[in-house]
Amino acid sequence: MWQAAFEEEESMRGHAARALVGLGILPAAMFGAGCGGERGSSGEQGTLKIGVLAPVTGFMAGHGQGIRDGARLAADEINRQGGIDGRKVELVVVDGKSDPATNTEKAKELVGRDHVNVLIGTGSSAETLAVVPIATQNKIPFVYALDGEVKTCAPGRGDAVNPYVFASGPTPEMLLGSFLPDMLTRFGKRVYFVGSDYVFPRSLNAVATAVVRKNGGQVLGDNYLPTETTDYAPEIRKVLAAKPDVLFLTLPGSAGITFVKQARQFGVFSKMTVTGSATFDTEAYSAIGKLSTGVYVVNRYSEELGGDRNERFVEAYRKAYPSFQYPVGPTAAAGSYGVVYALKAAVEKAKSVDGDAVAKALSGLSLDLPQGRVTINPKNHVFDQTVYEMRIGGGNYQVVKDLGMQEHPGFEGCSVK
Amino acid sequence: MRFSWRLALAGLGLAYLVWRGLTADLYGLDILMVAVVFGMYASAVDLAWGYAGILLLGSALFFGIGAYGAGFALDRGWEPLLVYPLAMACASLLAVVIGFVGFRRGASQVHFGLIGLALSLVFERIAVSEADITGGSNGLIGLPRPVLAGVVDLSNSVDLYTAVVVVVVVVVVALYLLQASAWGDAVRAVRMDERKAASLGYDVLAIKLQVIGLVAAVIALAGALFTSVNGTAYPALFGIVVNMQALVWVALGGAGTLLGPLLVATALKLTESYLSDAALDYYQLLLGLAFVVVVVALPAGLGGVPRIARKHAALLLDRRARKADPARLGGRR
Amino acid sequence: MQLALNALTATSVLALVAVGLYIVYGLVGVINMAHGEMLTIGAYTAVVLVGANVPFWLAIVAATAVSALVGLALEAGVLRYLYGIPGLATLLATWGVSIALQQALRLHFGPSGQYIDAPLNSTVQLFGEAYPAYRLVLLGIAVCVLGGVVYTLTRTTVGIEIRATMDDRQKAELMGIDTRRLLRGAVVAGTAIAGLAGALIAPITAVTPLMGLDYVVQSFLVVMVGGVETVLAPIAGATLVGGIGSIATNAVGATWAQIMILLLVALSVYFRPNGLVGRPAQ
Repeated sequence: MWQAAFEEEESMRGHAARALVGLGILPAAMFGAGCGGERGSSGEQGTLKIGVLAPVTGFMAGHGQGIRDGARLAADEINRQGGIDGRKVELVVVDGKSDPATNTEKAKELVGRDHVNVLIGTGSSAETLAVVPIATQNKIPFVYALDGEVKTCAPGRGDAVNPYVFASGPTPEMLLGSFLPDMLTRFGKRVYFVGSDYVFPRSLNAVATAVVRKNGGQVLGDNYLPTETTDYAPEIRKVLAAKPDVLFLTLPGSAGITFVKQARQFGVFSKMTVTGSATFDTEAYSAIGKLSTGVYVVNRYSEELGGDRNERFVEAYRKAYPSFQYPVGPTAAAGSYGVVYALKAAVEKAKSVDGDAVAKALSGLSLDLPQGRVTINPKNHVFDQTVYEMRIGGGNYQVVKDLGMQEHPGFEGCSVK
Repeated sequence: MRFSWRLALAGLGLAYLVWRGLTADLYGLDILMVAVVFGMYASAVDLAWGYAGILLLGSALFFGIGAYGAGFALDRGWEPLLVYPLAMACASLLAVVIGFVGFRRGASQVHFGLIGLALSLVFERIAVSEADITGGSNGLIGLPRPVLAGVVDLSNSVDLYTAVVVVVVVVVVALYLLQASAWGDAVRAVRMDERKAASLGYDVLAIKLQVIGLVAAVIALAGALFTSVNGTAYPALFGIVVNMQALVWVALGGAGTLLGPLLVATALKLTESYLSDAALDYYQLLLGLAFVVVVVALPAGLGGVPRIARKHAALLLDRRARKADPARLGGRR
Repeated sequence: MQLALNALTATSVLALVAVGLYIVYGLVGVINMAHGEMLTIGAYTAVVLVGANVPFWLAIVAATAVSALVGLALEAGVLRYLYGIPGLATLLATWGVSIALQQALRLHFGPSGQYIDAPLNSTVQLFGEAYPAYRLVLLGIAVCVLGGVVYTLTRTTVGIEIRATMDDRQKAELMGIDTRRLLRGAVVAGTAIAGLAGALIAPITAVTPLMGLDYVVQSFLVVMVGGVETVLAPIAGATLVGGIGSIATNAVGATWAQIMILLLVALSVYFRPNGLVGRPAQ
């Protein structure tokens, strides 16, 4: 059947449908093609135009929605209070589809067609790395939203800062440097690592295993599985056989959900302390929050941090998105809400929305965000910030311990080449 | 001369490309380049399926090889004029080997497609896994635009656009001329009936291998151009979505027309790029439903529209003629 | 021993998903790309019902029924027009259905994973190791259903009619078999089983709009490897793709296990183009 060719169309059924399809698709394309390029009104002097690359579809979709919603809330708040020295904040939100090529395309669109003043957002490392060269070439400041290995070094040299790129999230070094030693002392020194087989988990776990070894811990396993794995039973069996004290999971997205659901069936959670990175994010909470009671995580933000600034934020977020019923996460809170406020502060300082001026003003900036005090390190453009040890329970991320202000060491692990 | 839909459409398309080349901003050019490159890809898959009846389930295998080949070249500063043809040759060779295996056994040629599909997924896995060479899941990113022979600098979008459009047009015209040649007749003969073709003296296996070798090279070229424009090569280019997309373009555009898949692929890519993201949600939904409607109502794809239109036009003219000339009444039935 | 048990579970779940695909492909040569979404619909039905405090086992029955209804609609609205149309068009149409369903689920439920509690969370001692009770139940149900399918196809009149139609539809029609009705019934049964599988795995896998994709790609390989000549084909295919995969993961790690499987698929297609349990190639 497969190899048979298309035959001359004989059936006379469905004239109307035919006409509809024939007429429907082509004009859509023409319309799309016709109106590109021309609508390039350059950003007015009176506005700060922010391009938001939010991966609201694809495997980073959960994060993408947080990025979009957090940025919208901040922009609305600022505009309601009269803008930035009279300047309105305008967001242009696009979907990067969790895919690097789409991000390249969309970033070019934001810069070339919409003439945005700054870029924020992106989900995975690959997406961020796809946008870095475009921001750099066009001298547009780009503040990426999520945590991950540092990407702020200048292209071509790993020891100088890229003047236009800023990391709002903590790096693995910042997250794990104090957290893992604490886990080792509290629960034992034998650690088992399971991650998804791609760059982010591998590079994060490379940092993590180094920290574990440096602090007298023992790495019992360090395994990586394809993201589309549907049955983790063989790996779970290996974990159980190794009998570690601590199980460290770096399985972002649905991979983590599947693993956690299956591991719980095998009784893993009652036999060892479970922790991890990117696995128990708020984005996965809807699926596995209830299964993950007692799991330890390290992050820059929890709804339960307290503080006046944070309470105001949480209240506003809940009011703006009443249907959102899970803990507000760092992606939305710090990743894009905070970044928009940082941009506000930078524009106030620079008294301009010009790319170079804003970039210069961002460097060294210090301000209070829902997550606490944040300083943009002028040396490497990473946000110096406090990270917290947390435990999942009571329907939220409960803060166990303040691990203190963290600073990323130089450009260690920079993935921009 | 009879009015030719094909020629008219091709002319319109070409005029559009020239017009955009002169007026569009840089971003518009980038989008258009990617779209026409995918158009060329679709034409190549159509040559295999629509003319030779070879179902390329794993065409992304060749696309990915081209993309990564170009990626390595641009990343390490190797000469594109050497490496791009080399990547095309590799893809071609691989296709011929798979074909040799898949066609020789006398089994149905679905199997050729399946081996290709399985291999494309293998390559995707390897590209993710062997991060030291391939950049892993991030792929090769932020690549510079090609500089040919160290002299012809294509880093400007206008220059690159000109180059890409010329390459695409030349290749598509070449494919068209090839299918119209004696070789094209041989290919069609093979599709209709292999045994009869063989008895007419055609070397069936050789012809099929020639087709997929050629097609694989063109697809690899598309991959290389994609990476040259976009500056990225990453594992999903080997993936299931790219594989499926190519088939969708061919089915939607009408197999065996070359131009139909080309136009559909280009138009869909452009629409996707320009639609607002809120609209995109519903666009995907409608696109899915449109596939169903096309298949149920228009089994020959959009490429079949002219034929239907012609048929209707003929009927209409016929009716008018009959009205005007009562003497012809009943002559047709 | 647990190794074998894991392999068996992986195999049986995959066979459950693949069997529907196999029936439709075997009968009319249509690869139903939307088959994965039947699994997704089963899983979402279970999530919604269990969320509304419907007992899990009842929810599973309902999920099967809902998928069957969707399958009926799919057959009546789309597949029916595709019988006898060459392969590429059917691929396009069913892929279209698949995209539309994914997108509809995403618009309604959002892209994130859904929560559903397993009805059983205890483990039982088996060969000296703790094994999840739910997995055993899952395995039991899967084996029963597969047994039922094999029995129906080999021992009942309907089954014989189906196999006759698979062999040669025209001859079957000449024999007085109402192939239209038979096809509809087969499609509905296949999608119902996929929906059942989706509901059953919902507690042990990420329930997202895209969950069907991983399974449909694997099932596709299963059908290709197995061939369509005997009723044991999907089971044989699933053993290669699922079972061997599970064991290979243990030996060489998951990534290389996948690569190995894909190469095995390519090899088996080469050496046994009519399926692992079909006739050897001439």
